[in-house]
Amino acid sequence: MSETPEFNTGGHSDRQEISTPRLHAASDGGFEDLHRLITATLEDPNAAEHSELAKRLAADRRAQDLYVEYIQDTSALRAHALCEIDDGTPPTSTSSRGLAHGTESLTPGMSLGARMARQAGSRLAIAAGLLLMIGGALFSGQWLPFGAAAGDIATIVRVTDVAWRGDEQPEMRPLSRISSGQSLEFESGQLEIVFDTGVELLVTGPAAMSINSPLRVSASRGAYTARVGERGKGFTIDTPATSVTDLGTEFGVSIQSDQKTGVVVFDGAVDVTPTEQIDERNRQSPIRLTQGEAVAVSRGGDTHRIVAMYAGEYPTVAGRPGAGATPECLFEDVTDNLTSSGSKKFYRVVPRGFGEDTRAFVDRGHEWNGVDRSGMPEFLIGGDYVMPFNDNKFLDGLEVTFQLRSACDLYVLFDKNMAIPEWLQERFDDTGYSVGLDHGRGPFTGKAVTQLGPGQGINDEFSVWKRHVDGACEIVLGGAEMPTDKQLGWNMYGVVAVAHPKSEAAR
Amino acid sequence: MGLDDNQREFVRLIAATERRLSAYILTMVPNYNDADEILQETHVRLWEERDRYEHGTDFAAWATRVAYYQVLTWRKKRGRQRLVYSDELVRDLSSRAEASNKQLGDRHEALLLCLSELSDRSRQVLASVYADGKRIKDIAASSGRTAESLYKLVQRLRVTLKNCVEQRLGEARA
Repeated sequence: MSETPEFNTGGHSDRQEISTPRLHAASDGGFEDLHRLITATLEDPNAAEHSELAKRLAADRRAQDLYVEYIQDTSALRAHALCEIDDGTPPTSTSSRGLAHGTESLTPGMSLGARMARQAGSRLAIAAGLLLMIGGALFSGQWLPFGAAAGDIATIVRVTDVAWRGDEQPEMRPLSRISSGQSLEFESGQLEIVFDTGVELLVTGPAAMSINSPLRVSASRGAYTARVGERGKGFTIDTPATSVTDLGTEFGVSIQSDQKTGVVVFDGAVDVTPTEQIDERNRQSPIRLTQGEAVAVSRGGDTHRIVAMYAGEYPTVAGRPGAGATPECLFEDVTDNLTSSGSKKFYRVVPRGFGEDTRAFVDRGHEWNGVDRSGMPEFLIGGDYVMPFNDNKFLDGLEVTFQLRSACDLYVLFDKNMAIPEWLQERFDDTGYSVGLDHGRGPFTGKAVTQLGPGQGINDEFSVWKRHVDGACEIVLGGAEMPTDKQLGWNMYGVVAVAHPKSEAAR
Repeated sequence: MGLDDNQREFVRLIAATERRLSAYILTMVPNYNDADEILQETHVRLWEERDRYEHGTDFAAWATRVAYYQVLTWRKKRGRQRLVYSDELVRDLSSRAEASNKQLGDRHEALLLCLSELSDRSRQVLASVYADGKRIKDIAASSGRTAESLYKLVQRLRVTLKNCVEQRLGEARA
């Protein structure tokens, strides 16, 4: 007996097709029947099956569960189907996914109804609604349903002066989707990608990479900064020399060669597994790096400390200073005498980066701010500055050497809670100005959150000391004395260099 | 250009929940066009209210509540006469769908794996049926098969997929 496909009312199939073993008590007949009713309803809301479906669901809680799951699967199939139909190739190809039905650009002032009419038959991407709100088309109107298509796992969010390699590579626009298995290769410029898991990846060319999965990228060239939230834990970047797995963090990876990869941890922690140690016999535990640490890792597992890291070498995720090319910096190099003690901490040099809400230390979330609403001293803003680490500040005999490129004013920001060391007193002048520190996350401040702007949430005050530097030279600064009466609120000093107006022109 | 950091983050959050919201709405409003429109309204609403959202809190839960409200609004506009699902049923379905959403990621992953196990032909059939909400009758006509055979094929494929998905989920839990 054959079933009639015309969706007539009443009566359900009395065929019991037992083909495969199943986990649920409900017989195939139940599921098949629901399928019939739902299919009819989806095709035509006026079908009689719609009422029958409602009755069935109201009467049977088990049917409701099946129904909910069926709809979930249907929704997924629908989204998946769209991408199959779109360009006729399976989702894992490298063809551009940037096309959707209806390519008119969306302009402000179009009513919701008009836009929907224009795109009738196509799935509206979320940004259509956003456009109206932001008041203007951000990009000319080719939208994709986000997160909907199978195999799509990330979105390109920003493309800055990217020179794509080869002609076979399609041009990827902002909001283009990237699918699992897709490769990207470009000669210069910067790309920002956001995974559906929330991982943000900033890539600086020349770069060659492929997106293997929502949590794994492999790369043979380029510099990468990943900012990973809770959901992205376990995000891994494979490079020729080593694998870097994050643990809920922000970190940078720079492929220096086939044999060496630089790894820098801005926030959180990562596990680093050198390639040649991945083989079972040789297996050692991965190297754990925490916030403020930087090492260059070789294939065989040797590591050496990266002492100074220039913002610009490692791309920074949007919102942090130093993104883009490195302008000439007054600090030619920064070194200290801690390497032999096993420290992996690094100094971060940020050209032209000093200002409100800039990060003070590589191993804390604290930020510099003006002590009150009137803001920081003007003469400091835009200066080149060095982010040291807040751990190890009390190390006896600490010496930090700053190599300066040319004449400038050198400033030391010193915590008012601390006794002024001789090296500061003798070689610098107290300007009388102050800068504040707004505490962020750290081992002693827990989950403190920084505030935005001068005078907000200032926890510590620093006095500004100045010394004029006549020309290229080396300046050695010392450590600070451990205070005897207070336990908290002790900070490493900050260092800022500002060019003279005359020599500005020469820069 | 265009978006600032917070806005970009918000867009990303919306993108991440789209699939879940889409299925959620379709559950209570089993019609593609209506559900799409409600989803769109939800996005607009979420964007309008973005300042209300506190970063770090459960975005999906909030977005789901907003979607639910949009469904109710749509039902009200439609008028009692034309509604098939009762208020009570919609409430039940809503809580069931929300509870089931926790598993959505796993289920979706399992479904994709199961899809990849089907033949190319089978996948194409599913794609043509689910891509544009055309009637099976019409698709059959244009492809030279009988509506009856296409209907049976789709049914069989859905059963296969369902069993496969449940098997995978069952294994995953074991």
